Amino acid sequence: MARYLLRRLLAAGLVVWGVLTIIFLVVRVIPGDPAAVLLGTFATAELVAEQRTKMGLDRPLATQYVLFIRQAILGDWGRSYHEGRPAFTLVIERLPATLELAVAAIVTTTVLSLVLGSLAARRAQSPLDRAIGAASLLGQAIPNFWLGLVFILVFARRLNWLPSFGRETVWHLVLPTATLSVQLIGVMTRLIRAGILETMGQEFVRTARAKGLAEGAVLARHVYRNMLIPVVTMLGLQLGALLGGVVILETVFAWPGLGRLIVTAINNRDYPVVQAAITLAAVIVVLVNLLVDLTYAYLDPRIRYE
Amino acid sequence: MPRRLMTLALILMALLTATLSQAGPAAPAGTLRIAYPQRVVSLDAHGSAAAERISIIISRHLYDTLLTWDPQAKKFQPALAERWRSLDPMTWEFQLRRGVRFHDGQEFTSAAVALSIERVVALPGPIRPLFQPIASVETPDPYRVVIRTRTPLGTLLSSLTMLGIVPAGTPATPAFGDRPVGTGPFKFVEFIRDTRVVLEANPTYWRPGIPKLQRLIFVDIPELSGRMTALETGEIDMTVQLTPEEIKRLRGNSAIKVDIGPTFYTRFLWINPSRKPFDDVKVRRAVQHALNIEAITSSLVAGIAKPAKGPIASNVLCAVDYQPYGYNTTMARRLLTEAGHPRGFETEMKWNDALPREREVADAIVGQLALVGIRVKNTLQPRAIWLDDLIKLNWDLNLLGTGAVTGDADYTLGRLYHSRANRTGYRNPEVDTLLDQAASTVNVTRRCEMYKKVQDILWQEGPAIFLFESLESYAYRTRVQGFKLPTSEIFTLHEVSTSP
Repeated sequence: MARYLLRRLLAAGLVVWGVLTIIFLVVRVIPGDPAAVLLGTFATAELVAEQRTKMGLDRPLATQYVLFIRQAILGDWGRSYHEGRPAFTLVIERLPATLELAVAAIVTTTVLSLVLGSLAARRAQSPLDRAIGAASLLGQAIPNFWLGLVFILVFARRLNWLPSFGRETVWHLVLPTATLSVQLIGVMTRLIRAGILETMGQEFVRTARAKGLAEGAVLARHVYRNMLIPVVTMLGLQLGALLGGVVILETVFAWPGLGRLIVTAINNRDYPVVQAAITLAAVIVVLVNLLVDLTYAYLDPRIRYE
Repeated sequence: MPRRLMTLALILMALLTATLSQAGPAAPAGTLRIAYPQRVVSLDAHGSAAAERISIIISRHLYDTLLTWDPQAKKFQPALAERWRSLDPMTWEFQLRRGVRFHDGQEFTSAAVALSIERVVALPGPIRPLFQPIASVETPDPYRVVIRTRTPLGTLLSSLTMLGIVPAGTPATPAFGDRPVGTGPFKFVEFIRDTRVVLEANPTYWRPGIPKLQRLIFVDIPELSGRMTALETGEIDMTVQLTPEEIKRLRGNSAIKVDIGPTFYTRFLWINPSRKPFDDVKVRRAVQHALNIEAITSSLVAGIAKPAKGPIASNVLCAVDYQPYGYNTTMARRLLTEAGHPRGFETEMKWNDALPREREVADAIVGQLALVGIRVKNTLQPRAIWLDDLIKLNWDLNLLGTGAVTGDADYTLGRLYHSRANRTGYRNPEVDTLLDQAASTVNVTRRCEMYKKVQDILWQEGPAIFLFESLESYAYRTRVQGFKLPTSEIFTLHEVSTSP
């Protein structure tokens, strides 16, 4: 177990290093000079050159890269070009808002897709099953920024039930969470339905029923536990997609999270902030997937890590 | 198990819908929530964000300046300075108001003025160049300031209308922008980035009866549709910068009032005379005659702009109104033929989607120029790339705009059309001399005469086609009372109140 963990952590480290390198290169390859953006339309070519030197952008790419990696290891992500504050602090300040949205979406998805998936599986081929199937497909197909706008139009503008923007009370969480969850629920419901149907056909379920276990106990102890591995794996993978969706939705709902910080930073070519934010997002996705791998042994005691 | 889960889910949903109607709380009387389209970077009156429109607007509530510019009376009005006079062309004396206190209790004295000038020069940023010609600031006593400039400085008073006064001892660091202190009608309460800026009334403000609001909240909503929804649901009380469609739609809503006012902002099409064939003034004039600015205005930017009458907006100090060139494609073709381009030519127009309706305006320009044979490649660029090209003069035509932030002609003319600035590729020694002379002339009438000559030349030689003067639209719920249209896009809410 310890060796497995060590190996996985090493691999995770490699992934993070890869992300660091890619993001370092990507922000520098896309055209647009951060010094020019910082100085705005007021700048002259001389001022821009002076600013580039101040930012260290006049040095060779390799030197910038070595410096960047060394500082990153030391925990120094540089200062935001635009706000003058440490990039890492800016990112950490925004993390709670985004995590709040992500956790709310994951919880909502888990609960609703378990309910819907179970209903569909238990009444397989019934009109209810077909309705749930069609709804899941539709949910997967709808782009969530559009759905967000429709939700705002209906629930905030027309019905005036829910706030349309911002992050204050629990009500402010409802529309962004719903928007973010719809696609995920679509994916997960189908996965759970298929998992349940497949597991129900297994011999050990018949055995459990044969020894007189109540249907509820059969489902809870035998069916769900056995179909959870693909479900948990999928949830872990979906977290990455979820963080991607958050980037756009945070602008739609004026949600002050990591996504809006990244969008603003990219438009401003604020390299330190983009680098810190993307790396943090990558670290989160890597860690969650590591955690997912580690839960396998709990879900299925036959699994051993070597 | 699934049944139990489903029951649970149903109960949760029922609970949710039962309490939903509590959403959309109205703010208490005395509070005003306004959404502004621009992101707040810093609340510092000096430094890198100081020329951003939203920063200037919030600054007008947090800080005072020594004096203010009154475009209607065409004169400067006293604020923290009660009187001022020019001792000689390079020396100015200001008598300060007594008994004014900063929000932290400190008394306002000449030391604060001296520090504010030092600080704005120490911090890199767009308004720093306005104050760099100052040689020294002397404080003979706590209520008297003497400013000496290196050369006679005609723009000093206009520039001082941009200088928010901060307490003596304020360090020249950006951290001040997170917890600002001024003498203004509102005190700082809270600044949460990308969320809100909260200000509250300064009960000991030196102007009696101001402010009328108890609390002023600038809310961050990045999307226009989001701002409109929040205004209609009553989640905010006011917003600005609407599209022509929104103006039309909101005018049909009895709970919302829409006002339209002037700005210091001009939108134009820059022509790069350092590139062929635009080095020929006939080609530049042909472009002028090929554009039907009246038609573009009424069909695309109605309510958000009006046709420009000159290189700078009408409310700016020393602005001159001109007769429009007039839409005349025959004349445009003739000029092109005379310039040796009877079949027109190919060129490119670069722009960045930063101004309202810019996309439609760009399309219209391209279409109209095609009618006289000028085939324009329409290139929309992301801001970062556009800025890069703009500064390097890597363009033939460029569609953009600028505001005379200080309300002074020099801010636009001197900054953009002097060959030293090298912004348009246009070089004219006569313009340079006039601009230098005007900037170093203290007498306003004489300065305006020189700026008039500069504007005459710019209007005739056309390194730019001045398209529109922007208008600013303000939409607010009827609970907002006492809002008076400002003379530029910089508005204040000092005398506004709200009912419950």
